[in-house]
Amino acid sequence: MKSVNYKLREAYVTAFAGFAVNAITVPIYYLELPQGEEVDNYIILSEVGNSESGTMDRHGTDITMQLAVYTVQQYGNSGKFADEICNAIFQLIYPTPTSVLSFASDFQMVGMKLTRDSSENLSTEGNDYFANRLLTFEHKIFIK
Amino acid sequence: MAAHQLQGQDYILKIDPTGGVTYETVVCLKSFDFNSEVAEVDASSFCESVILPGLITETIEFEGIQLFDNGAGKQTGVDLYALMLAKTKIGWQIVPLTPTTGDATKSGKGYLFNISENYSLNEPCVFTSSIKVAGATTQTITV
Repeated sequence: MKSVNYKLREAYVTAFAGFAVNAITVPIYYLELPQGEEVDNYIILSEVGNSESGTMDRHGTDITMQLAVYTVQQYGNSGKFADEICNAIFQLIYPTPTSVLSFASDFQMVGMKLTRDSSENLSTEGNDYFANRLLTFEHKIFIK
Repeated sequence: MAAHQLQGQDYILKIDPTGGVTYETVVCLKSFDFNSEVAEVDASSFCESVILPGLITETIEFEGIQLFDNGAGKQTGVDLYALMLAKTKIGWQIVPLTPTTGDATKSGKGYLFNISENYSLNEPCVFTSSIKVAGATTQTITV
């Protein structure tokens, strides 16, 4: 058995290199926004979970990854930009039902699906309005 | 070796397309079953109730992930389908991966009688199949 977590994270970071929506850069991070970073709109990778799904002579895993989309605007936030970011995410990594992320030689992704897509309630802090949306993808991976 | 238990994946299913000479592992299996059943012959009469053992029917059922372009040396669902179409009499073995004293190995011959392939959205291609045993099954114990 090999751990695919870091490779999956790498695959996401590679896929999202230079990711921008409406000419606004939307960076992607793992687990938390790094200290000192000041960005209004970003994506956090987290909630990684594995469930073994191998065969009698080959390991495999169903692994989930949550993409949390965070946006902040002043004096109101309709959530439109969060929705536009999510649409761009779908176009980038899941444009067709057979889309998969590329891996190094140790792993092969044979399928992925969106298992959860939910919007959080609007929250405020002073004049800042936060609109967030959570996407969870499940990936079926063979371990070579 | 003392009494011991094994897990399902400690055993592998092998078949020989040529009928019992060179066995190749069936891949990539998720599980397989060996079913053996003796038919009941009812010899009951007014005198007494009697049940006699009849013919033995044996099947091997298995399911797995479909592999493509697997190369030589292993049997995939793709290979098995060709064998079924050709109505080839195959040899089969259910054998421990690393046999130790006391482990049982079963072997015999048979025919592939069905293959079912499944293609579902966002799932790997899978297949199920079964072998109907033709002739006697031999069980040997590793010494």
